[in-house]
Amino acid sequence: MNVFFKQNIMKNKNLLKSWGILLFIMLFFQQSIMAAGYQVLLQGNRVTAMGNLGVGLRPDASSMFFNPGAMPFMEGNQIMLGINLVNSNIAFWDSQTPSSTNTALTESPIGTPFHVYAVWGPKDSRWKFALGAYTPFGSTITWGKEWQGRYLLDQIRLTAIYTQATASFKLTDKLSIGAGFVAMFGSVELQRVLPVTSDLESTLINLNGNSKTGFGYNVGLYWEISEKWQLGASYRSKIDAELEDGDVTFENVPSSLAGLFQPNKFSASLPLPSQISLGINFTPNDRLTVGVEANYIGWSAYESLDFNFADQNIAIQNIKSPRNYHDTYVFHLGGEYRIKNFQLRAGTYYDLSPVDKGYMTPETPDTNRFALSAGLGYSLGEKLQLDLSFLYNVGQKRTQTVEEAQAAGTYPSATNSTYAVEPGTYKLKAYIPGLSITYKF
Amino acid sequence: MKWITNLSLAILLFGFIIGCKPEIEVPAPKAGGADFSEYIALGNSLSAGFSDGGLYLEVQQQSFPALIANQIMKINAGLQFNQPEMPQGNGSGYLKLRTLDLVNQIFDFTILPPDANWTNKIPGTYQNLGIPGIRVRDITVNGYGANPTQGNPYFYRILGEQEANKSYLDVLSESNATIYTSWLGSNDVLGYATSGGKDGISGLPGTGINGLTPVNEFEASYDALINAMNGKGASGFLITVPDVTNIPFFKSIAWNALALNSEQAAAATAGYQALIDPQIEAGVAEATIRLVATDTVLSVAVIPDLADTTVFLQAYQQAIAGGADEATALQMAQAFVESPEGIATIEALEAQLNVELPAHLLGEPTSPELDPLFAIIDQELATNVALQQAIAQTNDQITQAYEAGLLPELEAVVAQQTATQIDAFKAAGIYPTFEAGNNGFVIEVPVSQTNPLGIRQMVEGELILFTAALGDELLPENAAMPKPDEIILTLDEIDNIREYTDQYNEIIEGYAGNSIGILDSDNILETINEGTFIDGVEITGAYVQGGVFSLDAIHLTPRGNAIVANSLIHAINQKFGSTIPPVKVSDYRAVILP
Repeated sequence: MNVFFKQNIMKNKNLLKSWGILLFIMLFFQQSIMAAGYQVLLQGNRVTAMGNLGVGLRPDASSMFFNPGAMPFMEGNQIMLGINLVNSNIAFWDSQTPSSTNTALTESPIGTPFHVYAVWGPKDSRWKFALGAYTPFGSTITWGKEWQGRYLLDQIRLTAIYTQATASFKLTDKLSIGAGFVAMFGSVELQRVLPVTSDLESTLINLNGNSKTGFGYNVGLYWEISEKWQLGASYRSKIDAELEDGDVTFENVPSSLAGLFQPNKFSASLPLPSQISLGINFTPNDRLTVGVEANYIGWSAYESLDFNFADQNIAIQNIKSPRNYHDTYVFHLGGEYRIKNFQLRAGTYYDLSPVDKGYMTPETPDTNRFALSAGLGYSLGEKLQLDLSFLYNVGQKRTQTVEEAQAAGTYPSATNSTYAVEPGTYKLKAYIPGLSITYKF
Repeated sequence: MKWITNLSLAILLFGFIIGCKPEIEVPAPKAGGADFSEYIALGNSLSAGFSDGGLYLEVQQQSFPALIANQIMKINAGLQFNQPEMPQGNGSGYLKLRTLDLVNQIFDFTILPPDANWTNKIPGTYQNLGIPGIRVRDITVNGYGANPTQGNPYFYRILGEQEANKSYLDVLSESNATIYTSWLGSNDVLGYATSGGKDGISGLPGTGINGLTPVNEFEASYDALINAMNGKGASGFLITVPDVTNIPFFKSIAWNALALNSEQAAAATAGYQALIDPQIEAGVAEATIRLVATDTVLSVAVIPDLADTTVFLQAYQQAIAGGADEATALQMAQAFVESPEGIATIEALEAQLNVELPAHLLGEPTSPELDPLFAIIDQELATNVALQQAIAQTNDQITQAYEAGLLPELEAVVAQQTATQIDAFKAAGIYPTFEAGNNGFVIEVPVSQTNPLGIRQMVEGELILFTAALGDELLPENAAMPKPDEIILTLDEIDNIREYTDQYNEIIEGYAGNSIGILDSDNILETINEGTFIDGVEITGAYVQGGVFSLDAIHLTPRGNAIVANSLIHAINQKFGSTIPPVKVSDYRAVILP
């Protein structure tokens, strides 16, 4: 990948310079939640502009993510660099306490999921190979130290970076398949306030750790049924992010409790679920394409989030936090219309929440999401493609009652002392512009 | 080309600019059927915000009336709620934790000294009329705040220079309350309870301090308060008097927390034996010797003559009954007395009297026909000085001989009686016995007929006051020693407290009506003591760690005040149809850990 980069950067110095710096700076920021659970659906700004419709599209470099089987149908070679700026926040109202007017709003920093793809195939070959990196899962939420759920969560940063190597092969003039191998690097930073009264500021517990490298794969199939109809199908495997030897540290511990709150180690495990996708596109002419897509996400793999501490005492006990997510669907509709060397795009999707009643935790107080997107593509000559997108994603207002949480065992009751959720009403909103730049060669 | 750059930039900026936040519509708080123009809090230290053994600015600002007022301000933004604030600093002085050993439950306090000027007068119009120390019986007392040292300094400081003679009733009558809370009555039992009931139900003569307020006085005073508030057309919520024995001040030390291993138990048992047995023996010996002395003297000095006279009288009366006249009857009686039959009768009567005399002296039942004779004997014992002297002399002689060891039979009798007495005392729970494990503490009780030792062991249900922990009483070297009455509540004393509390509450609950609601403080206390989870934090009634009770083990922390405030807010909302928003209990602090 280095070889390609050097040559091409030299050729398009001016343009890439201004954007490149911005992108690289933002690469070091964290991601933000914008899909159901902690899934991030921002892996290509052409696709994003079309309501995240990707599996059945005539491919570009981002197909190495959306449908590795489609790459042989891409003409030439491409390198794509892209980023999204996720401005996503959650509103909370303590609706379960009678007459309460208590509200809270996250002050989450802007997240920066990114994607980098390089796709290359020998001239006139049926083969295409690709290397890439992207972030399909992540979450940055900052509730702060004032909201009533602060003893559950003050802030969290969850990141999962996937690196992928893919090969795909054109079986016939109409059909191609591909497969990719994935290595995942994950990390989590979590902070909660401890219910301690002292002369100091809020006593805090920090959990920080990196996961072991996780491995997975994806496969895809792309079928140009006719001139006007395309079909795509893909599967991405689940990867477990396993964290061992994470660091536990404390801040603002009064001296009388110093013996109980000593630096510690923790372990935890989080599933990054599998996904099956199926999409059909209709392309009546060389200007217009419209399509529909359905995804099935294997969220039932997420049963519980447990934090196990190396040393336990009366104040520090292993945390068992049930989740019991269920498998869900996402449905997409989108289209693209070409005028000269511009492409106008629009789309929508509906993302069903995997979270059951009583399991809406502060880091994923999930609700069904509805999204609208629009975007613009611009082909600059034969070498350069710019894709701009804007995604508006809103989570329907959803209320979690004390009874639902107690039945789920996530809120204290006469028979259970687990405290894992904050009952109340939640609403999510995200505004996400994005830009991808593709260099074709 | 450039315009692409501009357009892209514009779209990105657009994204940032309209990055508005999600919002949830929340219904605005409403007054409903209540008039929140002026809220007045009537009460004692609990309403004033008293905490950690003192009243100081930081806790005053978090008194439950202040918390309620802040929430009412969300409905009536112009609400004035003034409190008689202490100057910044230590106020009347209070307790603070210096070090804490949670694992071994060792608390080390420092006492912050009071501000020099805290009793300076700050006359004004206050909406928080919570006066620490005030009892219901003090409400109508003129001059209750006349003097900072002889009266109530907290009341003194809110009165103007010319207002020395005012009563609490006068002050509350001047308020413009449209809605009020009243939590009064705890001090009418707390004085008695926190002094271990040592001054009895009536307390100290004159002021009744440390006593239980007579129910009729309680009723008269509270009636006056209710009438005054009704006269203003104010609506109110009255909080009942809680069962004060249910707070950490009385529950922190168990009645049987005297934990001894088998060696210590044996040592304590031996210690008490060494202390008590000689006393019992001496008592038994003294009683026995007195019995013997009395018996001996009587059988020589009184009984023969008595028997003689009695038989003579009987014969005389028989003769009279047979028709003889006085002179003849006397002769016949005399003859009878000298006859062999008469002598036998006299001797028989003497014998009977001698046999039953010890029983009579011990207060046990005797043959009914001897009753008049014993009455005469008793009369003689009470009035005949020579007889008393003779008995006393004999007593001394026997005592001397006993102590010289010259009366082994008497010693044996005394030893046996002592053993019997010890068993009786043990059965009555008066004689301290110890085993390995938990043991009841030994306490001092008034000496009485049934308990001449003046000590006994505690029984289940009795309480030890928190003040015991602050002194030396519970140190290992002193733990088994008898505890004074003022740090103990016996079953009787607890019954008294509960009985008076119930009667006070009957009166309070009787005021319920359309404009007066009642809040049961025992419900709140029970919920706290059972343990509960509120607003993200665990709440229990445990000292310090429960989050509710402050360092003085009686008054509440700001977090405890928040719980009371929410109970009232909820009750007011339910009764009057308002929607005052509650506070977040976890936003208010528990005891500050060092």
